[in-house]
Formats: sequence, structure tokens, C-alpha cells
Amino acid sequence: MVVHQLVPHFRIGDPTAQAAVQFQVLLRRLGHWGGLFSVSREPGTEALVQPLEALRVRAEDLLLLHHGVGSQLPGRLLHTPGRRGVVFHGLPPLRFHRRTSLEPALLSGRAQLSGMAPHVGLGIGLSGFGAAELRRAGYANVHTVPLFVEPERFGPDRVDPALRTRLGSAAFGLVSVGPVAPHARVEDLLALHREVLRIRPDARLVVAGEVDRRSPAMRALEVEAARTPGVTLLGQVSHAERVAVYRSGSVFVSMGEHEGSGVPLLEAMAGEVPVLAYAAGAVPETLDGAGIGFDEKRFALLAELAVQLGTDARLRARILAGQRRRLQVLGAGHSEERLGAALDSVGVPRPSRTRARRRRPRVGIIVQRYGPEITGGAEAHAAQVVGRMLPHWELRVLTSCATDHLTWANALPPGESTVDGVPVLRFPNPRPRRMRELNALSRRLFGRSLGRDEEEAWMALQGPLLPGLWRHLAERGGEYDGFVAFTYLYVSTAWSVPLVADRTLLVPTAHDEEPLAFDAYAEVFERPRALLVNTPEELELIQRRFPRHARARVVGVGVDPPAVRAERFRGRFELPGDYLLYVGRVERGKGIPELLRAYGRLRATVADAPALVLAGEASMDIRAEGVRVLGRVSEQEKWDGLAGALAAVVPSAKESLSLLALEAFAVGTPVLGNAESPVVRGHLERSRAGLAYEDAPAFVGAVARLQRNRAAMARAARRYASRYGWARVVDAYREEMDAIVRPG
Amino acid sequence: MKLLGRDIDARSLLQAARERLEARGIREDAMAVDDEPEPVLEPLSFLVRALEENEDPTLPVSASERGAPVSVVRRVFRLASQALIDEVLERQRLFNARVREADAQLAAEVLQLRARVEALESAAAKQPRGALLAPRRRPRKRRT
Repeated sequence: MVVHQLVPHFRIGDPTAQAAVQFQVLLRRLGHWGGLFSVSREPGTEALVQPLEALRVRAEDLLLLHHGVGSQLPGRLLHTPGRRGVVFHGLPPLRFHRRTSLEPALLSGRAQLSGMAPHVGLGIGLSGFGAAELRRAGYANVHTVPLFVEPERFGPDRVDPALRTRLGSAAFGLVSVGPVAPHARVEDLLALHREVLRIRPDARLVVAGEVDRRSPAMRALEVEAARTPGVTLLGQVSHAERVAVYRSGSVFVSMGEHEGSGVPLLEAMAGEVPVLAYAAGAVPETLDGAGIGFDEKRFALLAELAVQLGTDARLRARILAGQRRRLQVLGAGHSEERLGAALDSVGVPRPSRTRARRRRPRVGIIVQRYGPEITGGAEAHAAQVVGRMLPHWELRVLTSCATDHLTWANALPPGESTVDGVPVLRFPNPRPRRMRELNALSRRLFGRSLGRDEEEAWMALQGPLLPGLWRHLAERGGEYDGFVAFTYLYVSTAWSVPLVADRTLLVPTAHDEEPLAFDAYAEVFERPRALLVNTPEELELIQRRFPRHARARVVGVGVDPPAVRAERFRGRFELPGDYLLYVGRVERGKGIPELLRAYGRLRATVADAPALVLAGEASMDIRAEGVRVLGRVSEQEKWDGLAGALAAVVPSAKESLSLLALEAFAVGTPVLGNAESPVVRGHLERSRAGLAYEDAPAFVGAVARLQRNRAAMARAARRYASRYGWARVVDAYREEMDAIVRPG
Repeated sequence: MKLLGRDIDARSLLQAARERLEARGIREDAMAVDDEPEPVLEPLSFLVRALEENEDPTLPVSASERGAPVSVVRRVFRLASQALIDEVLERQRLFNARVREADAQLAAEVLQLRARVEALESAAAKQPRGALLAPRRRPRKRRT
């Protein structure tokens, strides 16, 4: 089913935006697809969130509005066809905001909340407290779907180092996180801190959260905080800074008198700091016995308690253990279950597989691009698997209309077609990728600890965005017995896998690259039925990064070379002497500049250096002595060329299989590989059929050794390649799919 | 004050904290907190009132939040150009009034209809089951 979400304003780090992203994650896990739509979007989120004008809803779709203060969206919701639901984010009590600019928006929000009640089939509160407000406002079908936190995002390794240094290591410190607004009662935090100072003059109070400067009272509070010793008001902070705040505190304190969702309490629990919270709003149900709640604000007494909680190691350990238990109960699985029940109540059940009796299993192949004009490791891998599995499975390839992996522009017609006898269903990408935009966001995000919303925004920008594919899987996924999805990295796979995870085999083609650090990819590695990886090195990498990954099996590909004639290649390209051959995309990301530098050194050192031949689509201008750039070559030319080469060169540091190395081995040609790639190094160590180079001098030395020992290496290469037969690979795919189709 | 928590001995923790306070010669005071739930707003009546409040765009807007100098400047500007403002906004004022009247009329109709539906539903619920199931008689056509 399709469940779209409306968010008034989408801003990274904003609780409403975070909730919408979290709902989208849960919806995917429940097998439903839907887009995010907003009146305004923060730059960098344009691929993740669509403008309101793009919203198209069909009668059977469900539209969820994230509602808080007054906005234009309730009117939009009431005049949109389809089923309707409201996710209520809570409204702070009006008494805190009288005569401020927020007052009219709060009044409107409250009036809109009750105004929507008779027209909406589903009300969702983010806490029991919020759900009670929905019932009071007249909603008949109300459910509670609490938000969750991902504890690993609050680990000690996720702390912003600069803020950690700035905050130092105070002997005792209170911390609080949340908007500095009147209902958050930061003045009460200051009152508590002043009492703590009487016991511990070195104590510190750190408050992180956007200051509501519309309120004169909050502006005055900023001045008061600046005058109070040991107080730091940080204002709005990034995710990593928030983690630094939690982890720098002796005690997390909440004095707020309207806590709608309890998320800061959960984050504090994940940040391993004891919680001391005023039992208002959703606080009692969130804590449910964990941490310490209190029902009266007796500051002197609370100061004594806070100091004991922060300094009594046994008490602290007991509290932290209880908080960890609570966090486990309130995990993503709990929220998923509650959302599933809410959707069931409005007739949006979890999709299920239609069990038709078929001679061959019907399998969907999910891959970012597909077709004879496509060059690319993972795409070629997918095409080979399709070719080999065709006799065994009823196949259909689900892919984009793109041929260009940089823009994902729609070059091929959408809809049904056939490629080499295989049915292919293509879906258009509504937003071609802009590399400049992606690179800018990558520079900003890579290497930092991030929130889920930031990671999802990057994944969407990475593309290819295929809403048609996700709709197809959500609505008609049940018609397939199973799926094989290729390449974890692309959003076409990353958002497809959770939709049909129980029937999916993932071929991750993972290598060590920055996005692999994103926790959001845990969905892709942990939820499928099995991972079919290419090499032991890839498995080791996945194990290190996602220890809870799905069952994995090293499968790789088969390599069966055709009959080869090296002279044909030599004659066709006029290559009488020795040559080193690279076949693949000629681009920076493949390590070509480093290879050219090393080759330059070889030419300068050795008089009769072999030529360097680069075969493949080139996106760089290359003019260097001894280097031949052939452009794209045919499949037969590739095999002939490899057979005649002194060695095949694998310059890329980021390989998950290195098909080129395996193909070279299969025709008895040794490999010169980049030592930075664990996969290539692994092949070379296991096969003893080539040499790895770290730098230019090592490259020169390796070529000399290769020339001396080529015959022995060629024999080793053939021996190693004999392990990579297609029969073994086909058996592995069939076994894994059979386990899905015929469980038990 | 009560402490809530499964992992603590609330009574002894509080007792110990109170003893430490006494030893320091400090008396504990509780701060009063108003935690009444917000009243539900009836949207139709709220909107009619809100439209009434904001019907006349020529009325001055409060600028007290920005301080006295800003208030004075705004007041002087408004006095000097009131005639122009009124002229420009006259059509807007009329339009707002019509919107308010239309909304009030429709809201009143909706409220009245809701009340009638409610009354009919409760009357139907009170009727004996047989009465609800009895077929309606069609009036016979007379031959002319």
C-alpha cells in the first residue's frame, strides 16, 4: 500500500522531520511505500522531500499529516481524496505563550486538531499523553506509536570532538537537551543549578536546544543564564554535538512541563547518562520505572538528589542498567508493531505473498541500471546472474531508465521491454542526480556522526530515485516468490530491500567507502534473508561494520572464458610488444591517476617498459607516453586482450569482487593490483598469481618480477580460476532461493 | 514530593537527601505547577471569533514587544498615513467582513444540522426495534 506523509516544514534535526523520516523507515519495514511532502524544505533535502505541489493521492492511498502548530496543511488534508490520518506532535500549553507571536499558531493548531477529527480515520499520538489529547479533541480511532532512538548513534564514538574538548571534563555537570521555550522551564533548570552550586561550586549546567527568541521571556532567560556561573546555553546543535552533551553530563535533567514524545529522555538513556525528570506529559510512560521521575519541584531537595545520582557509583550503575532495559523495550520493533496495528485499523494491512503454484520461482532482479549498453561492475554482475539463472527462474528485471550512472537521467523508455529474452520493467527517476549537489553534501556529511534524517537525505540525493519501483513492490511485491537485489549503496536497492526483506537475497558489492559508515544501511544488511557476497574480504568488512548482518555466504561469480586468440587483439590494436591491460571505466574513482603516475615512473626507469593499454569508456583526458586508450572494446576483444597481456592491472582501491582479476586468471594472465584494496590483495595472496603494489617504486619492482616469473604465475592463475565455475554459483543461488520459496 | 523509579529505593533516597538538607540548615520549598490540560477548541466557533478579531486590517497592530522607540515611530507613521492606509485596505476590509459573515452563517448551519442529526439518531435509538424494521407504506395512486 501507499502511505504518503505531509510535513509543514522539513528541516534537518527538527523533531517533526525526524519523526516523518522514522515513520518512513517503519512503513518500509511494514511493506508500505510513501513519499514525504512539505511546504518548505531545507537545502540538501530536495531529493528526500518533495514539494506539496507534487503530491498525487489515489482513493486507496493513506495520507498522514504531521500536525502541531497551525499550518495550511490541515485544509489540504481535508480536501485530498484517499484515506486520512493525523500524527499529532503535541501543542505546548497556551499559558506559556500568551501574548507571544506563537499564540495565534498554537490556537490555530488546536482548532485545526479538533476540526480535522470528524474527517480523519486515524489519529496517531507519539505517546499515550498525545493520544489522550487526540481523544479529547474528538478522534475516534486513536493509536499510540512511540518514536524510537537508535542507541548506536549515541555511542562514545559518535561524540563531536570539538565540543567534547570545549566542555572539558567537569567534576559534576547537569545537562538538558530540548528547545529553550517557555514550556521547557529552563528557568527551573537554572534554579536547580543554583542549588547544586551551593553543594558543588564547580558544577556546570549545559543546555542544548534552539532558543525561542520570539519570546521576550526567553531572551531575558539567555541574559540570566549568561550571568549564572557555570551555565552554557549552546543553542541549536548538530547530532554529534548533542551526543557530546549527553555524554559530558553527570545527570540529564528535564524540568519541562510539556514533554510530548519523550525522545530526549530516550536519547539520554542511549547516551548513558542517568535521567532525572519532572513527571509531566509523556515523561512517566517513557521512563516507566527507569531513571528517576519526580512530581514536585523542590529545588534544594532535587539538588541533593542530583548530586548523589551523579556521584554515587552504585546508584548510577543501577539506574543506567534500568535505562538500558527500558531502551530495549522501546526499540524500533516496538514502534513497528504499534504502527502496524494502527494501519490495520484503517484497512492498510501488511502485504503478503500470493502463494501460486509455479514450476519455476518467479524472481525479481533489482538493479540500478540494466541493458547491453551499460558498463559497470555490479550491473555486469547482475546481467551475468540473470543469464545463468534464466533456465531455473521465471525472471523479471526491475530497474531504472538510466544508462548514465552519474546523472541517472531517463534515457530508456519506462515500462515493459525485453533484453536478450529477459522481461525488464523500467521505472523513471523523477529527479536526475546533480553531482555538484551530491558532492557538496558528501563533503559536509562524510566522516561525521549523523542523525537518521541526514543520512536518508544523502541516500535520496545519491539516487536513483525510483518511486514507481517502490510503489510496484508495495502493491504487487506479493506476486513475486523472491528477489535478488544488487548494490547496497544505491537508494533503488536500499529502500527496496526493507519492503520485501523476507524474500530478498542481497548481493551487496560492498567495499570500504564513506557511506558504509551510515547506520541507515543497517536496514539493507540486517533485514534480507541472506547476503551473497563476493569475497571473504567483503564478508569481513560487513561483519566489522554491521555485526548483526543477515546470514551471509561467499558466492561471487563464475568465470568461463570463450576461446581466445591473443594475436587477434594485437593485430587489431597494433600492439606488437608486451603490454599491461586495464579494462573498465577509465575514471578517477577507479585509481587511474595513481596508475598513470606509477606507469610514468616505470617509463622513466625502464628502457623497454611494456605499454599501458586502457580499454573502456573514458571520462578523463589521458595523454601520456606509452599509454594507449582504446575506448570501449567488445567482449571477445576483452578476452583476447587479457590473454595476450603481460599482466592485467587492477588500480582501484575499492573493489568488492574484482571481476577483471578473475577474468585475467581464467586465461592464465597474472594480475598487478592495488595493495590498498583488501579484495585484490586477498585474490593475489590466495592465488600467488600476481603482485600487489603500494606506490610507484613498488609498481616498477612488481613489473620486473612479473616479467621474470610470468610462466609460474600463469599456471597459478589458471589453478585459482578453476574454483570460479558458474555451476557452483548457480547452485548457491538456487539453494538460497529455494529456502525462501519452500521454507522448511 | 514523590520519586518514581524501579531501580531506586525512593523512600530512603528522599530521606537521606532531606537529612543532608537539614544538616545544611536549608528548608525545602515546593514550586506550584499548573498542569491543567488545555481546553479543546471548537473549530467553527474559534474561526468565527478569529475572523472577527482580524477583520479590520486598518486597525493598528501592537508593537509593544519591540520597545518604546519602535512603537513611537510606528505610531507617527500610522497617524501620518492613516487616510492612505484606510483607502488602500478598504476593499480588503469589506472582503474580510464578507468572509466572516459567510463563515459565521455556514458554521451556524453546520452546528444546527449536527444538533438535528444527533437528536434524530438518539430518537431512532429509543424507538422499538419493530418500528425500525416495519416496511414503509407507499401511498396508493388514485385513478383519475
